[in-house]
Amino acid sequence: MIVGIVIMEYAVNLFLVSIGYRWGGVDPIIEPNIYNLTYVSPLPQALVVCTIIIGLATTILAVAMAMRIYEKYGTFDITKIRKLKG
Amino acid sequence: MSGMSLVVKVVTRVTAAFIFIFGCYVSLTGQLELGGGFAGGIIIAVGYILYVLAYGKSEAEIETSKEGAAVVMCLGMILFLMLALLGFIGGSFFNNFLPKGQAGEIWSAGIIPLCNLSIMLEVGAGLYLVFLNFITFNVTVREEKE
Repeated sequence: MIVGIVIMEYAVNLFLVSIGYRWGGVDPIIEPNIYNLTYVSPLPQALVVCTIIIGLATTILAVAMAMRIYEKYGTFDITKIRKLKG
Repeated sequence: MSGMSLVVKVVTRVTAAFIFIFGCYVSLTGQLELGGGFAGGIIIAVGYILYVLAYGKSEAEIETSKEGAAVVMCLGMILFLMLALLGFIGGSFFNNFLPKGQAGEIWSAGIIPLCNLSIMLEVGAGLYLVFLNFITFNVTVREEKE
């Protein structure tokens, strides 16, 4: 289940970056004395950098919770983890 | 938990230093090329993780420690906060007060290289600390009374 969440986060990040594509564009790095180039949009790239770090922190939290569940119940079987105590 | 074979250990001794230098390069040229603080920090943490995987857990506990990684991580955070508070010289919080050179040089764009340096310290040490805590986790399964 954790792997499924991670795959979905990668898919969303890739989609957000691909929104800023312009036809015939190059990577948005300015080089001296070269003009009249079409750059791809760098704005979604700046947003996605922070989103990737947030996804990493969420994954770390999910794995820590899974380790705690194993310590308490001794198994990862869903049908045996039934004792929800307050 | 023991390490891997002798071939892996000899090759890791050579490549781990190059990975560290490459991480510093990616982080410090964040304003010219791709990369920046986050990517450089993760590359440095991967270099340390390679060392732990090749040599085993007991050897890594001799060389590096959790307290050292925590100190480096907090140092990076404090450096970033000091840079933001020093922006009051320019007029407002987190102001870009250092001189901005020409575009294309390394020392340009104000406080951005120093911010990248502090983020590199923090992200690299933080990720290595998380990995150490996951490895040295003693599983003691408690028996529940029915």
